[in-house]
Amino acid sequence: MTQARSFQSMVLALQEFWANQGCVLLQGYDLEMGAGTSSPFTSLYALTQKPWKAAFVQPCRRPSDGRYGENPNRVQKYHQFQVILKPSPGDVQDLLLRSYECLGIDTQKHDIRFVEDDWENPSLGAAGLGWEVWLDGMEVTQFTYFQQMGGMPCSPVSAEITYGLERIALFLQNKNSFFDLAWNDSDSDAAYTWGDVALRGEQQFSAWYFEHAPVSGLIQHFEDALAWGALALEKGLVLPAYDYVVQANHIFNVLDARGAIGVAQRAEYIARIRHLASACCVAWIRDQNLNEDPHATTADKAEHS
Amino acid sequence: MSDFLWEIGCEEIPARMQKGAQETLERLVMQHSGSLIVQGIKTWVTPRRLGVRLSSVFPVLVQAVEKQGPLVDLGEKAFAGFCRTHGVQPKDCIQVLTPKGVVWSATLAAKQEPVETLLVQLCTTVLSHIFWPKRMVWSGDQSWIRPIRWMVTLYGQTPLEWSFNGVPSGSWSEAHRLAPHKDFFDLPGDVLHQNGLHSRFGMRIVSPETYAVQLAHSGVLIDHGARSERIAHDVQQLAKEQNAIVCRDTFDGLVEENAGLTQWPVVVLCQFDAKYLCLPPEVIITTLQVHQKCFSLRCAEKPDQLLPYFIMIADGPVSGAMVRQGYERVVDARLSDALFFWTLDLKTPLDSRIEALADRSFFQGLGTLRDKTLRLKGLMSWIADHTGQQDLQPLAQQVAMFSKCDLLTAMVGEFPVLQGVMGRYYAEHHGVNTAVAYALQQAYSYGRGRIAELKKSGILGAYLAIADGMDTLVGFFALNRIPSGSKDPMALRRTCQAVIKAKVAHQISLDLPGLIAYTLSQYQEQGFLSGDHPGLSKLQTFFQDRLAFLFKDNDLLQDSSTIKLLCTGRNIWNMWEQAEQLATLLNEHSDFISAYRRVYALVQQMQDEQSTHDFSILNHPLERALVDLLSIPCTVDVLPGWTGALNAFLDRLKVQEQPFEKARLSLLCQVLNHCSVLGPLALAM
Repeated sequence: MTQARSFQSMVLALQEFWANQGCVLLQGYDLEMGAGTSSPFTSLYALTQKPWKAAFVQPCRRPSDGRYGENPNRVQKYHQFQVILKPSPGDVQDLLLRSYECLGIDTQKHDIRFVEDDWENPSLGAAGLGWEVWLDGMEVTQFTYFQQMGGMPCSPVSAEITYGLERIALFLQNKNSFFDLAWNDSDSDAAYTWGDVALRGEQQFSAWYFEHAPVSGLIQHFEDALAWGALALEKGLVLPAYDYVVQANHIFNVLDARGAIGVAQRAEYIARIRHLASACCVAWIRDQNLNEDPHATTADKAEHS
Repeated sequence: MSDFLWEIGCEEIPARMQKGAQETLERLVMQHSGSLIVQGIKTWVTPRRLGVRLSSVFPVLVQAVEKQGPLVDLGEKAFAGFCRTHGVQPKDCIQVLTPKGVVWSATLAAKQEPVETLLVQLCTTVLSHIFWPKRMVWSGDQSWIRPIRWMVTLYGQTPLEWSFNGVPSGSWSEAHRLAPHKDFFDLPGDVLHQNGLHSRFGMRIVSPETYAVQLAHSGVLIDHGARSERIAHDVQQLAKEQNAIVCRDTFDGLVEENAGLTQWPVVVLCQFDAKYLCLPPEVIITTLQVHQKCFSLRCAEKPDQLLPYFIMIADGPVSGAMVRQGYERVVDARLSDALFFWTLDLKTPLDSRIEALADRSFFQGLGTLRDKTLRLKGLMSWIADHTGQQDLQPLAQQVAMFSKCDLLTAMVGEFPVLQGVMGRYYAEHHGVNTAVAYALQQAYSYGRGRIAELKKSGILGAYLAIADGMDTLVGFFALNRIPSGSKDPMALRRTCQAVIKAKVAHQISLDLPGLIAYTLSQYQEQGFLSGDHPGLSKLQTFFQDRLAFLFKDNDLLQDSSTIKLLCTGRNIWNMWEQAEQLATLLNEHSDFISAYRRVYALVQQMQDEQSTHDFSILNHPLERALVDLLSIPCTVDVLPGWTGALNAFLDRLKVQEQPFEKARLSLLCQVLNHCSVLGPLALAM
């Protein structure tokens, strides 16, 4: 290893590695979401029978984690590298370790640990078993075998690998702050740090999420999103309906950051989002089954939509 | 006669499940090995394997046996079927005369199933019976705790051929992932190979006898207990060298967890910046022990002083310097966050937080956390008043006012497990009365704490647990949000148990219907929960169910029907005392209970009009003994006397004997009444 990898070259290396494993390289989903799992290319695609391998960077929004750019490793927007492998291959842990090697991590020198962390996303009705992967004590990856999505069992089982790109970069570049990470490989004038790219956003979005986002308006937006999602679903349009699940989730997160949701109230909001998410999953599976069934007639499909 | 080795290799088994899995494996193997004779059993577990070795295994010999078949008269077809079923030749069969008639008979030779077949059967059975707290599927239709990736089954040096869920058994086993470090592990160089996988080095296991040594040489200490001992010893040794002692809180649990996270534990001393020592110790310990699974250290001379050191347990021959740097970086980031929160939180006076609680909703229809706080103030005051503790009212109200403030602090936002604890620290910092500050922390201990320990904590915390719990329970029941089945999103069951435990631990005497009514009136004064609330009527039964649960959980009473009878009473607050009395009698005076049961069964048949108080005709010494005992108060001290007298009476006298029947039954009836001061004995009959 001559020079520590920049943030962008990490992405390139992971993309190349996973493309070589047969993954479809996608772009991050174009809606605000808390994690790559919420992307329909993860959640909905994990539900069907057809094999699916994909990899993409998902920018993630966590409004409550905003710190006005003042905390070295707590931010409202960060990046995940998301890999989904269906069915889960027998050597999937080995693939993960190899991908670390290709990022420049000597897996024979560092302490890499798989620590139990069963994953659950209540607002998607999703659950899986797996680990958080520790690299010298730092959680850098989430590894999950999906068992359930939208309340329904996943078969075949997908393996989901989610790299925390910023954290791995801290490790590789031996830095203590996200903001100091080298984003590109140039030196001198053309060099950009993570902070150069993201600091203004951290400051402004933190202020918006914590101080100014209008609570009553957001509540209305939340209601609208759920209503429109239900409407889209009524028309048999699962993907647009699912987009509203994602949007409702984000609005909920903003309300939460605003401190507008009590402990007891949370469960209520989450249950409403999950209800729509589950309905989307059910409709999605039904549609897929119809599309894959050569005997299904157009009439069948129309009847179901 | 050889030893048998079985190793199930799988992806990382959660640390907390390993010991349980090892015990289950041992139990199941013993339970299902009836067709084998086994000299000894040994089991082990690491994060990546679960294994068992049986010594000197051989199959049970099935003795020769004579088998009788169909009547000869039934003809050729029946005879052929008999031969086929038992694998005998017609020429080896004879005809014998039996009471049924003349039948075919054959002598089945002594036989021995091949031991390999029996062992494979054993493994297959055990695999499908093993219990895991959670299970997952990965491919195929079998489930397990994590994917199984390899298996070894050797009988002597012979690998058995079978497979489970698509994983073939063989003789290849996995070494430590870092096994290629030749300077660390004593590896026979030619043994190690990668088996086509980048990160999985392994070896061919030669025999059950060589297994443990082969694994140890490739970096795997198979025995969980040995890893635990090594960790406990090395951690303490390393601490001693720093003139430190290891924090005892959760020490054993942390040792076990680390033994479950490593195959070759190695201790590494790390440090953090001493500036963080101004944080409450709970914050540092939570960060180190809960989040990072490291051991925190205290000063040997001043044990309440934390030291800026900690010990992490690495797995195998990693680079100590690099790993230490990594852990220190993570701990520094977490503590730096905590210090930021602590400094920030201290700037806000507690009083101003009470107003800010108005921005945080409690639940739709039940107001904000500020509304709740004000209700708690009224409720705490009411509880103090109704328990004759009027002088505690001002403090109780103060506790209520501060009870939710720490939920708004940044520290609790980050470390939710420290709610209450932080409340105490912030209150102390702002000069609040110590009893009030501690009550904020102690109120949280009633949810999970054991009653015996809870007795030691202060009364104000118990008041808060009751007030807060009742406010939540009444609110949600009035909204008809009642837990059903596994659905209890608001943890109302635990809340209810906390109320009961606080009451029982401090013997707080309150009338439940009155408490419910007052709690509801607090809501209604604020304009919430007007109208009728049919759901609320279910709260009393809910309390009874939770009591029943706590009886079992505290090993007081086990018999469900007894509990059910006890819990259908009206005044649930007295039930705990009654259950305690009953439990003592059942456990410590079982002879008396047996005698009492005999009497109870007899008297049950008696009609009311038969009773009499005239015992003058009862002159037998065994009768007089009972009459005499009735003249002294019934306490546990006289129970042996009662036991002897009742048994003698019932053994030697016939109750139905005339003309004594009526008087004897009446006498026994009085005995029952007389003894009922001991507790609700009828419930255990």
